[in-house]
Amino acid sequence: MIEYVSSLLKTYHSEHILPEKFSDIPAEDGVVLTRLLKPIIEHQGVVDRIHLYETDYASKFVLGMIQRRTEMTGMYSGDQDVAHIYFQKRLNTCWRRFVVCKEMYHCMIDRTEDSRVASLGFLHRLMEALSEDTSAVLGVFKPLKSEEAAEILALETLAPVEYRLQLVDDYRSGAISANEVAEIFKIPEDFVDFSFQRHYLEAMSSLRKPLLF
Amino acid sequence: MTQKATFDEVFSAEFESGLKDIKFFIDPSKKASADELCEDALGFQNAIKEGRAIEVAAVD
Repeated sequence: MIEYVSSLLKTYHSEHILPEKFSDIPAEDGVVLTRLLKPIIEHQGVVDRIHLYETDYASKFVLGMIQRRTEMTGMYSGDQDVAHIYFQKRLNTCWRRFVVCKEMYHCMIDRTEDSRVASLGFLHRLMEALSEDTSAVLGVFKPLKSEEAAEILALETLAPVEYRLQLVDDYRSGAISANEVAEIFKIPEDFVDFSFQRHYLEAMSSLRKPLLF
Repeated sequence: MTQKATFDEVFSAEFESGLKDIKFFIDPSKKASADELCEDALGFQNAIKEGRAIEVAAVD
């Protein structure tokens, strides 16, 4: 599935020119903007339109969600596949970006019926799978695999491996902290250390080849 | 009506009215049981139904 990251970033780079050096990443925004990813995903993915919503509901565990529907959008435009992405208003910019990017990736990767949750039975199974008691779920359950993959793809898109390879020595030596890396990419700090794990970084840099630069 | 029955009723209605996929982002720093996740998802869904979800153009 990592090919979706390569495809998206290649298109993004052709339209918006990513800087080759992490030191040239604009300090205020992060390197990859979700607002510029959205039209690319609407074009390359399985939905025609994506809408974003913030809610004041203070949920304990659910930071965001995506719901997909087929909707009649206009007298002449006919039915369209529409994705509605919801997130908690209290989330900071880094978390909003990560949640929205992860949920948008479902519009790229969930292309088969068995990867979607379209029934109450599948919804209960997904909740079991996402809970702490994952032993309740036996065998391969594609919607769970999709949840896990979308999170990885969001990380690889918002903090591209091209830049992490430039930062890895400084990160491992302690010259740059997880908080500083999170600030550069505008991603939650929680994901930074994982993104620099030796085997993970090697695997991603290999799977992503050829890199953008 | 129990929480589970309400959850089933609300989301059954959503699937019957055309919901064809739903996925979640769960806070990775917290552990929850399936029942707790269902309760949270139901609250989230009710907030949407009550008009407490405001469309935004972008997040960055």
